[in-house]
Amino acid sequence: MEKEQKQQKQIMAKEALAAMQDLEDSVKLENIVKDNKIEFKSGDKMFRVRKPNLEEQQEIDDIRRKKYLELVRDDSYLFRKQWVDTYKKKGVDIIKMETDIKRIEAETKQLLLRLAKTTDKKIIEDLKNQILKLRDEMYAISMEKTDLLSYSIEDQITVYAKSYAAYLALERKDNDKWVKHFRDNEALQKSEDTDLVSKLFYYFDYLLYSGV
Amino acid sequence: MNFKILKKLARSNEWQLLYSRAKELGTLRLFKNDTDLTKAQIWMLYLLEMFSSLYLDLAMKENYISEEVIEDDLRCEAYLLYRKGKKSEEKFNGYKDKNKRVTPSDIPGVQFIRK
Repeated sequence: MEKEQKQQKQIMAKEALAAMQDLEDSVKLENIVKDNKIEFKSGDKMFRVRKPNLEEQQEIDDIRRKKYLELVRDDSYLFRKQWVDTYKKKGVDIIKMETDIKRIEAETKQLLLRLAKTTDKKIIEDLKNQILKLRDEMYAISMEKTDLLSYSIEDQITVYAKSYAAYLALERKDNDKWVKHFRDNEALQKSEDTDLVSKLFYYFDYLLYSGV
Repeated sequence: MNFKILKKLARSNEWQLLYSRAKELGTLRLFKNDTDLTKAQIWMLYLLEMFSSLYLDLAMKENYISEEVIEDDLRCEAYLLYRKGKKSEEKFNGYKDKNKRVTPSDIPGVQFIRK
């Protein structure tokens, strides 16, 4: 009896903690939505990331173009299409993966239309489970495809430009003033402050990309 | 980005009220910045408009919409898909009617009466 009560207490504590986390996340996200800057602490210093301004955006585009030319000239880098052909020779069919994704999307759409028109609770639950199962399957294929193509020129450019943008967007609070933290992108690349770097990319993604 | 929380905020009475007042008045600001919106802010605007239209459908007593549907993300998505299909079907039927060729039998007849 006592053991049961203890277990119940633990479950309630976990639920309360999850609810608190949810509330905290809501407040955090609401602040981000209202003001497109995110402040965070790393070590004993305060940092913030913000959206790059127009001038910085042009700088990022410029860097992206230069890196693109560099990678195109390097024979060890391949375009997405070239990777697709290379994988096909090794028995990995990326085109089939894309077809499978489209098929699952079409099946999901049909189930969603059935879900919209039903009010029966049992059927609703059943349809929802089927949809979620199909989505899991689709995400797995999509993730595999993304992993396989991550070394392509297109993906490498995106990663590089994102890193450069993150370096531009990171600021440190010094005597109530916000100053740029890293001298250049290379300093960010070489940084050993893993806590700061991981928080920077986490919040930068949060701010800029729809990584939902 | 935590989409679930963004939806929760957009669905809330507080944000819905702010959004409708902002649309009415035009001077009320939802965000501190007016331009250069982030992805999160663009998503928030999209979700605010989406939930606003769902609450409107609920008030208009449209088919297949209820509070339960609005509270459930997947059922919301299903309803929006159904509504989109219904609207394009209506648009197509309207287009068909507009372009329907007039045949002699469609012209109302005139009856002459001798007094």
